[in-house]
Amino acid sequence: MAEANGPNEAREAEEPKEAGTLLLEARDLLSGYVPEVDIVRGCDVEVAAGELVSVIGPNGAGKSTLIKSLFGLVPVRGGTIYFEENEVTRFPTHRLVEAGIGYVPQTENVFPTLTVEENLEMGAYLRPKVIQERYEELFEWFPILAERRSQRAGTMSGGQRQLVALARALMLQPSLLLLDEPSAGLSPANVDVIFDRIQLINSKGVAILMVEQNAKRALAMSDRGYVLEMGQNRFTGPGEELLNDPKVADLYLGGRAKG
Amino acid sequence: MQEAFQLLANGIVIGSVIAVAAVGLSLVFGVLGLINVAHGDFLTLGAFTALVFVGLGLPLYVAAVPAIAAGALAMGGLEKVLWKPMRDRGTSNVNLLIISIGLALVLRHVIFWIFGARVQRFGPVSERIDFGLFALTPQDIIIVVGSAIALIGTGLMLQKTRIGTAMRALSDNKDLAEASGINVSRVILYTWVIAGALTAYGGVLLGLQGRLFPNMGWFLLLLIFAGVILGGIGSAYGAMIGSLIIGVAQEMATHSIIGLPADLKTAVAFLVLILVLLVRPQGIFGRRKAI
Ligand SMILES: Nc1ncnc2c1ncn2[C@@H]1O[C@H](COP(=O)(O)OP(=O)(O)O)[C@@H](O)[C@H]1O
Ligand SMILES: [Mg+2]
Repeated sequence: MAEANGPNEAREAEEPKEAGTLLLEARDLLSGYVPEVDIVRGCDVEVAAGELVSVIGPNGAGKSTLIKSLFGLVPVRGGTIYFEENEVTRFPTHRLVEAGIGYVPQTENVFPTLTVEENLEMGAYLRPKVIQERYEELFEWFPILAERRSQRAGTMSGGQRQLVALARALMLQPSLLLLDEPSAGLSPANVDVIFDRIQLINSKGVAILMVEQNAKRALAMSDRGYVLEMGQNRFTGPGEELLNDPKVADLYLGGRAKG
Repeated sequence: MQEAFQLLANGIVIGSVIAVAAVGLSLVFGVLGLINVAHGDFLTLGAFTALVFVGLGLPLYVAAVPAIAAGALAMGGLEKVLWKPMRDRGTSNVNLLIISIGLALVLRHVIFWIFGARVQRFGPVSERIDFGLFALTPQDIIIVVGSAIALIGTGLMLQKTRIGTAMRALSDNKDLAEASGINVSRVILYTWVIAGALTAYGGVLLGLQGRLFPNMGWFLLLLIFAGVILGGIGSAYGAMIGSLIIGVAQEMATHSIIGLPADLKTAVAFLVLILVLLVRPQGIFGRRKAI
């Protein structure tokens, strides 16, 4: 099992991207909600430009907290975070959005009383000029949203809401997308749709750091993965390698992966 | 029949004033979850600011401008020096509510101290104009039209502008608004400014309806709350409709068929409120909280 070292370089992509350039680099991250109680306890996370990276681990391991800490939503008590080579530790969230990070929370990730269009508009609050232009691309990626642009997000199905949330997070063309359990609570058919769209987004050059319960599928499509336990990195390595690692499989994947 | 129409008209007049005030309260509640007990006293602030300028010889429609500015400035300023620092310290909503009670008292007493308890007027109330089924003073008509303009304007702001959409987004989900890159503090500040402007304007309309005295806004506050709750807490449109219903219900209660003394009309407004809440606990336009 590899230590948390550099991301794997070789990967096929439909578009050329600067594979290998570190986009996000978090070192020794310490964070938590209540004073004195650290939930994330010394995590290292790296995401290279264009990479798809998964974070898996048992419930309560601190996966959501890790993502929120990276995004300025949970106070960081120790460690450093670099984004595109600038230190961004303890930056307020809106500055991270400005810098090019998008985030889709695990739950309540749409504005229910706002229409689909208004949800997307809120994703580009910082740069309203780009809205029309972004609609075009995003409605192409998510045609169902184009059909329902005037529908209130709260009246849509879980799968559709997840698409609204993804599109909202993509409005400012982030270079990194943080996704917290994008497939949670969806029907198998919708899980397929979401994973398919995530791969599409990634193929357009957007790096993705994704927490997933659906660990096998997530690792299978990921360049690299992290296994988190009790707020610490347990295993780190290329997705395939983790998938086939007997220890990981027994502990976190419910048995050895087949194939 | 004539009596019923007259009471309906009266109810719409007072309901309009309540509605303008209630929308401001509702916006703040929607965005912050704060129940601002001092809200009524900002009506008083608006009315008396206008009175000062009327006293300087300006017509009321001109005097309304500095009154609106004073309301916007006062509520926006308090966000800067009071509410935001309190929230940043993690003050609970219950404590913020208590603070707003204190603020209400301070405001009222300052107004009392400056203007005295004497009942004052913007000017003489004109003769009623007979419309056949009902009669209204020109002041009443100005109140209804003035309220309608403010309410339609607020609706357009909420529906069509970026800041209005952001205000709705914040009342839906503040954390998500933050995570979307919305500058939440700025949107909150604008919400206060808009609420302050609306409320002071509502105060001018309230003064136009009758008399100015330091308790005028405070006395209306319960009806404003009733309008907001009836319409569904946090829904600006609900606050508009709820207030009109409250206004009409309390006037209609004095109809000779019902025969209630005018002293009891406020109680009837609350009876209507309770009956509606028994059927729809979330109010007319309110949403049940997601589980
Ligand atoms: N808002 C919160 N306040 C306090 N503790 C929290 C909060 N959210 C999560 N926790 C705690 O942090 C730990 C990790 O939670 P989380 O990051 O959500 O785990 P995961 O996403 O891996 O399931 C849990 O013990 C949980 O109880
Ligand atoms: Mg989680």
